[in-house]
Amino acid sequence: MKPRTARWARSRVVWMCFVFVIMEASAQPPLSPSSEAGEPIRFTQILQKLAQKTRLGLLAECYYAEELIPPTNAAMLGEDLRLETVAAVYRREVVRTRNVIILRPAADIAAVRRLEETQSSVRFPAVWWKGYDLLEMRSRKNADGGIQMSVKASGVPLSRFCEQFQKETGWRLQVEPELHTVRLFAEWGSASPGEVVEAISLLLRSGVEVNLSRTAEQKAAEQKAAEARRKTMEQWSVKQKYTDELLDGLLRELNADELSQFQQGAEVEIPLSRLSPELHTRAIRFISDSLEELISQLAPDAQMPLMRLREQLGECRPTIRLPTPMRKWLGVKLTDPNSGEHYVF
Amino acid sequence: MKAVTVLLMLIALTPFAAAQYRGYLPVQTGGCEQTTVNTQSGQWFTYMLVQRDMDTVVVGYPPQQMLVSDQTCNVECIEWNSGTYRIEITLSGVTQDNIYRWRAETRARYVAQRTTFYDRFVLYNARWSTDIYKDPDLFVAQAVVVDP
Repeated sequence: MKPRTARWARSRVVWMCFVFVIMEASAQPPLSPSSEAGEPIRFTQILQKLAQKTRLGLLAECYYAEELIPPTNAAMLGEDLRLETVAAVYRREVVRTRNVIILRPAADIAAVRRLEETQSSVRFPAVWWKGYDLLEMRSRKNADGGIQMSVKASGVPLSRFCEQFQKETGWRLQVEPELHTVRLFAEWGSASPGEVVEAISLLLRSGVEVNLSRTAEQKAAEQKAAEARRKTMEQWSVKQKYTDELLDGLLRELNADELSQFQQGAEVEIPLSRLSPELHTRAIRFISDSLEELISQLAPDAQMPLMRLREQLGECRPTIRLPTPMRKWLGVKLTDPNSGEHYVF
Repeated sequence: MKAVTVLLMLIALTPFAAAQYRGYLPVQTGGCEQTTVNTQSGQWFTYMLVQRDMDTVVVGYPPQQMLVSDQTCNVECIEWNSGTYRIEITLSGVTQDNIYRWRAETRARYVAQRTTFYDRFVLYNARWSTDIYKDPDLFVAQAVVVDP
């Protein structure tokens, strides 16, 4: 072999070795950061990275076993975390509300995992979820009383989450005891308490019972306001007092058809001639007092027709108008015996 | 001891200091612009209510009387009989001499024969009942004649 040919062959071999090394290197699966550090990939850390990437909130149920054991196919996660990949690797289904992405385990997996978690928590209490106490909730009320809150939680039990939720919002979130130990990852920037509850219920596949209540102080204050308004109304019109006094008796005088009409909100009138003597006397007093009150509030030249009617009240076919949904008091209708015109007040 | 005496004197004088600002009541006036309003069954119609409240107050020392306009005038319908709907009340305007003009609007009830309905209103100052500038409420009634 000529020296030139030998040199060419040697350089060819070196070149091929170089290419082979490069190809071998590129054929290796990418090393995950955690495997470089010798640490398992923690699910909560992955969720945190995902949460940073999305503008929506993120909620998931976590298991300590998943925190410790690196997923067998961790390489699939890659550097550029994608929601679908994480869901596939950790066997979660993706559910969404308007503002929150929920990574939810399948129902049977959740049942098994929760049981394992309970057993392990008893066996390894010294290490169980140690160091996982991140729970930050901040809420602010707007002028109308609406609440917007931000949440950050990592591996905290649901019971603790609920306690903090109540402190921040005043909403008492009761969870059945079997679910108290469920560990949550939650992160979202702005949500209403209702959205938080909805997301948790979707995560747990749980029903929601809502119980709206007022405090004793609120009830007392409202009662006081209503009584004050009632007193004002009594000062504003004699009809308030008479309506309280007469209405039950008048309703007893109605026949079935009239009562049905009254209950449907229709105008119902009862002529005084139909009333029992005792009720008749009280009804006359009501009409007389209402008439006096009205006359005193009219301009002098508008008072005349009513003053004339007052003198001959018995001949005016007085009729009582029952309240309607729009008119809360009893009313009166008088008919002028001379002209036949009606007067309604 | 001196400080306590001074404090007690100040407390004793407080009612007299407050008495320098006092409204002379009642001076609220008002009523319906028209004695009687005429309309027909089912027609939309309006009428006006007027209200004026000037308070006389005594200010400073030596005391001087001052006339101030009360800008808390308000109106509420107590009973609406003429309309098929609740009567809508809107502020039509306030004149230079503090006359509030309120417009009441509704649709006349359907009648088979001429009927006079009476609507009642209260003109009041929107102030707490303990406010010395609160005048007594003023009640007015409007006669509305509705023809078939």
